[in-house]
Amino acid sequence: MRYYIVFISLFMLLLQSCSIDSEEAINVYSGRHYSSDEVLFKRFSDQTGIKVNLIKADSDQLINRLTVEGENSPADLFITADVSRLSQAANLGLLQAIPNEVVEDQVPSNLRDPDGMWVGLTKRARVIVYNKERVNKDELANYEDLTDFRWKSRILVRSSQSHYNQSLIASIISALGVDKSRDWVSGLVTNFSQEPKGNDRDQVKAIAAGIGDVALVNTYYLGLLLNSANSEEREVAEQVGIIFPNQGNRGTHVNVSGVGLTASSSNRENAVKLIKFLLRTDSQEYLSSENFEYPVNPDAKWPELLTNWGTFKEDSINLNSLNKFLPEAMMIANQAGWK
Amino acid sequence: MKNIFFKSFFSPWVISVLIITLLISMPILVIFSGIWNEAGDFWVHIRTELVPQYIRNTLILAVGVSIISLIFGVNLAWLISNFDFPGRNFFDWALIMPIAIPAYISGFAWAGILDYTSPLYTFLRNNFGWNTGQFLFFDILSISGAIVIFSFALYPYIFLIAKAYFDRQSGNLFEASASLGRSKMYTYFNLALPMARPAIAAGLSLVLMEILNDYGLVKYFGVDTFTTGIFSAWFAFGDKSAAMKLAVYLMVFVLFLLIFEKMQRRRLRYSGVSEGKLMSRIKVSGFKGWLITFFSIIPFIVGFAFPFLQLVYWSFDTWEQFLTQGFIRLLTNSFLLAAISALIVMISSVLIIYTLRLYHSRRLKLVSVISTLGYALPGAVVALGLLVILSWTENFFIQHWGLRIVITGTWFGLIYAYLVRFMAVGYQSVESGSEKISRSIDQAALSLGAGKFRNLWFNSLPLLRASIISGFLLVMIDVLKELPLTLLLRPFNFDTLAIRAFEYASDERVAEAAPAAVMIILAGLMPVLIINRLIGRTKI
Repeated sequence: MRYYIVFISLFMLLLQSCSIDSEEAINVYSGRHYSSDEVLFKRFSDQTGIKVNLIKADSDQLINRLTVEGENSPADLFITADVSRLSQAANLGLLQAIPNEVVEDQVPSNLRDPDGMWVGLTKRARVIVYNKERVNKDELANYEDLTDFRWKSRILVRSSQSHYNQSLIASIISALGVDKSRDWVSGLVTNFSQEPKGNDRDQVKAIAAGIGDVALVNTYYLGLLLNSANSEEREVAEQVGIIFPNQGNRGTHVNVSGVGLTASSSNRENAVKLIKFLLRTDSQEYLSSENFEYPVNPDAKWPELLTNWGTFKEDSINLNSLNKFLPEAMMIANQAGWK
Repeated sequence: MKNIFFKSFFSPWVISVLIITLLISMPILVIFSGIWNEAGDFWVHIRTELVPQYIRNTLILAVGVSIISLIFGVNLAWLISNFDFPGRNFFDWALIMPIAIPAYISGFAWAGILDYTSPLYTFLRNNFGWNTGQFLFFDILSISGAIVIFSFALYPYIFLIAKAYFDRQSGNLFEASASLGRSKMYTYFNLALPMARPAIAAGLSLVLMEILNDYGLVKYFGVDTFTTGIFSAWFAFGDKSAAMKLAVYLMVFVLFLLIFEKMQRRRLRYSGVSEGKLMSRIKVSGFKGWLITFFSIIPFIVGFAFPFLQLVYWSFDTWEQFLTQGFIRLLTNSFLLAAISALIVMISSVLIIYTLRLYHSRRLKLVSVISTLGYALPGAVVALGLLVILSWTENFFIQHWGLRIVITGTWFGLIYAYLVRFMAVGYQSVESGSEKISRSIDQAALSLGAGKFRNLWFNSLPLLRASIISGFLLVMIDVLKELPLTLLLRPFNFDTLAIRAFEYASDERVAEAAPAAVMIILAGLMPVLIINRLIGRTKI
């Protein structure tokens, strides 16, 4: 009998932990793992008295969770670090429109969904970095140039499993069409100096080690490397220069991390307040200074490092179309042997 | 057979085991049901372009890791259990320590030790002009690198289960063997090893399942395995049914292996050696003794010391930041969750295995084996099955009783998830221990009028003690390290050490991830030390 009592009370305790918080709160599912976001959420709570509850996980799996939970989902906002995941969520009917008037004065229209399903928070550019001694900067202007014979066995890039590479290929398909993109990818693969492996930082280190001369990386990781606590890492990062590709034509491929309002949100008003807060100039400047991402709000000032890299023209294709080309991009990469 | 099953169907033991195993199997069965889904447009591409290559890589990885981890795991368990050599008492627990480091963290750490900007490489380059490319000595980001990392991260599964077995092995047989003039080598290879087969197979199956479910390490190392294929199909191609099909193939493969191994084994008898005198350790000194010491030190250094020191080194710069982020809370969350889950897994395992001992039912056995498959699947796939079951339950409550309950994102849901995930670990440990206990012991107790519960409590549990303890330890450490399920199914604002480490590591900030990783390892070492004490006492 005693055991039953203990068992039942334990069970009750567990059930109790399942009860829902009734205080005013917004529930956020986020695919961004940065502590800077949490700092901003806390600021928001301090200013408004609205609590922000957070679950951070892989964005693909959060989409799954939203799908399975359906209308019972507790989430109000969905944040990801990769725009194609946001359009995926929108296509699955997991998001609802954010009223246009809320964000139009804070975010340029190419960084928002035309239907208002999502709005950008920050930008990252996928750029070419090169060894300053071994590479003449003038030899390289476009992504397309990387297939040139002179780069044979000199190019470094991580696996095509990376969202960033998938989005880049998708952007190329959108600009050049499927056939030319296939040529581009196989030309690129022919010029690889080694099998794709490691992360973006490793590509920069491989340049320093002399494995290759140019690499495709996100500006954001180069910023982290330049500000590393390890002096050797900083030195490695300083050996490379940065090229913003395709300045004479469509512009550099930019990926956006952004936020959407979930279809199931029971707390729209407060959720929209948080979105507006994250897009405010001061929040944007904070995110940018912590993570070396580019702010989406044109009024926000850039941190010194980004200013030094200079302004650049962005590829202004509709970011939504990237999602459409994603499967094609993967097939091309697989067939060309880009691991 | 059949009659026994029908008669026993209403036994409370059988019924409770059926309930538990079905509860655990449900999310797995949800995934199984995916085999009937119509796959999307990319199925042919996935099957022809990706799968063959991925299967090849997975097999290379599996064979390589099996060989190395068996060599170290089994031999060391035998040596530690039976011989006294310089440093034996240290290695007795130190050799378990690598298990506290998640494989992907060990991978990051080793890449850090050998990479271009590491202190070691920098030193050798600047002073002696060494240049061996991006990495020192050899390119660790490769399939052979992955084999080494996995082997030395996972061999403790074999070591621990085999040692729990050898420690309880009767000395009579070996004395008989010696008195017949057989050498120790002969005894080891022809008596001890074949008899320990259930234990070794249990450990090895855990190692293999760990390799199959890993995504973090293989992704970083650029090794595309079968799991890569599942993720690629699911997320890059957005073809969930293709992904589920692949997951089912994976499960069928594992199920086949498990059943095949058991059928192979059925011909042999393993029980009947647990009673009688335990062996006392033989002292080995001099050159031979130091040779064993050297052999023991390799896995300790590769699997633990070096990666751990690298993490500590990284932590020097990032320690303060970690301490200001509420790490006490992280520690208690991680520990409580691990302990409670491990307890529940072990209770379920003992209940299932004991019931299987009492009622030999093949069908019951099959359900039990299915309930262990959650360990072989990538966490994200298990999570999907769980999400479906959990929200189905929630909807059921709302529709039928108008009761709004929340399980997803609670402790309850999380513990259930771990039960589904780690059942194999508890099950394999207890089962390998149970096979060694003669059935005549049960029969004697029951025929003398002891109740089934009394027999379990006073008879089986004490005999199973070492296996239960090592199983508990393994599950606890596994939960401490677990990532995908915790990440997705945790309550709001809930963090564990593994999550904190992962968040930074996945963002290429390994140095910032290091303090949390160090804490996971320290937290994992505590049960290692305590429990090793407890097991240690069974030996004279």
